[in-house]
Amino acid sequence: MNRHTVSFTVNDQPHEVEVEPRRLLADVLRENLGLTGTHLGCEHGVCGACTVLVDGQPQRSCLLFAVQLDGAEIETVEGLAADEQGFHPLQTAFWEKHGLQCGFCTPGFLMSSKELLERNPDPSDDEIREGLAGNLCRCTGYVHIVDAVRSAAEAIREEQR
Amino acid sequence: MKPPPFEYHAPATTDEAARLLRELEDEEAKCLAGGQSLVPLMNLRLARPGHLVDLNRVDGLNGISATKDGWRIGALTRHAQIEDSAELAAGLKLLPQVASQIGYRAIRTRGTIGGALCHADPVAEWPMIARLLDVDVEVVGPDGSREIAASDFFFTVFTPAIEPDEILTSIQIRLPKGSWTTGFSEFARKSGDYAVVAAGVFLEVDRKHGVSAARVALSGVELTPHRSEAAESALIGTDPGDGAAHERAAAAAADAVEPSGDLHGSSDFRRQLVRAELKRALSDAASNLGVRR
Repeated sequence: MNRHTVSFTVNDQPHEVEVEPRRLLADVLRENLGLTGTHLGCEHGVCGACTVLVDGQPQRSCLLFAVQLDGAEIETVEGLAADEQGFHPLQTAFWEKHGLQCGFCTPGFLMSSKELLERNPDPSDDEIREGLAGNLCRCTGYVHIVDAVRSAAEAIREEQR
Repeated sequence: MKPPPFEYHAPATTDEAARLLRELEDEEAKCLAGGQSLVPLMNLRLARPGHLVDLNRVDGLNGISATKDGWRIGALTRHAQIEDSAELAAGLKLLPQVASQIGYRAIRTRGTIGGALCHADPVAEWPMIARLLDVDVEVVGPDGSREIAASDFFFTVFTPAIEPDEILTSIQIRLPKGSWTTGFSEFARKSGDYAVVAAGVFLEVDRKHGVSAARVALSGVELTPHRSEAAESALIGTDPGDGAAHERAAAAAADAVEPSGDLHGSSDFRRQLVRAELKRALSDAASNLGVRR
């Protein structure tokens, strides 16, 4: 039988799934684990909606087979607000700065932004735009998204001071 | 949109991977490296491999190391590792500069240099850089390893000169002893898109006689990366900072190419881009001269 058992963590919770090799990580997250915060747009790596962090790196969950990820640590948008304190500073900033309208692309933007700010805590607007070039939004026109990421960067720096 | 079914193999060594590829030769086996081109093709059902041999758990394929005359880049080295490499920033900054232009960060953290070379997309950056630096590509097959010169590696579009049971293991970059400089420029519609045209230059420079050897490579003008002999000979003996010489070389390169047009750019537009991007790459090379590599 062409099925494999794979173990990994998602937002620090251990999971074991039995999958066909062709099962994409995005589908495992959404359908096997019920974590529907990760959205699928284009399913060929262009739109960025399905971006999650795999071992701390932003990756397209539509371009990874779950079978490849034995032992991996995966973070999804559900992990951002995992604690009882409420929203992650990025989520607060997207809310306050109107960084979303329909919200479909937002999980991908949040995960890409999270890694961007870890790598570069004080990015210029150009660096934010470059960092988010791999995420498409069809509603907002990006201005408010860039505002939100800049504002979240300030909030996170303030928090860490 | 789900990929067609396939069987999955995760070998631990290159020998095991090569053996698997030979055993599965009649069953459409493909290597899986970063998967940033292969998996989209599978999701769109344009590729239907019967087996995937995942190279991500193969030992020794990933890494950047200095050699006695240059650099060795493991085939499974991710674009983002090259982009972030402090060693390369100091020793051959062309590579981080180019890596940062490939796709998006979420693509670069997964996509690999070896995968990009084997995919042999005529508009991708690494094949053009491989031709520019005249790298040697090391491959391992069931009968041992061999090196292929970059000039022999790109057979045609999406077709490298590598056998179905061979695996690309590393790229060897050999640099000249004397003084040299590199430059790069590309035009893309938006950040992260494939370049319509990209230009790379590698100049060896003699303090007295100016450019003593020149290499000029272009992507987006032919089915494989193009080396512009017209521009290379126009640069010999010139001052590397001479804008008029840049202009002459760029015009010579543009005159010598016959790019075919597609929806990303007509033939004329591509020819104009060759001229513009090569001038920018030459000016980049001049500004890198003696400052940093």
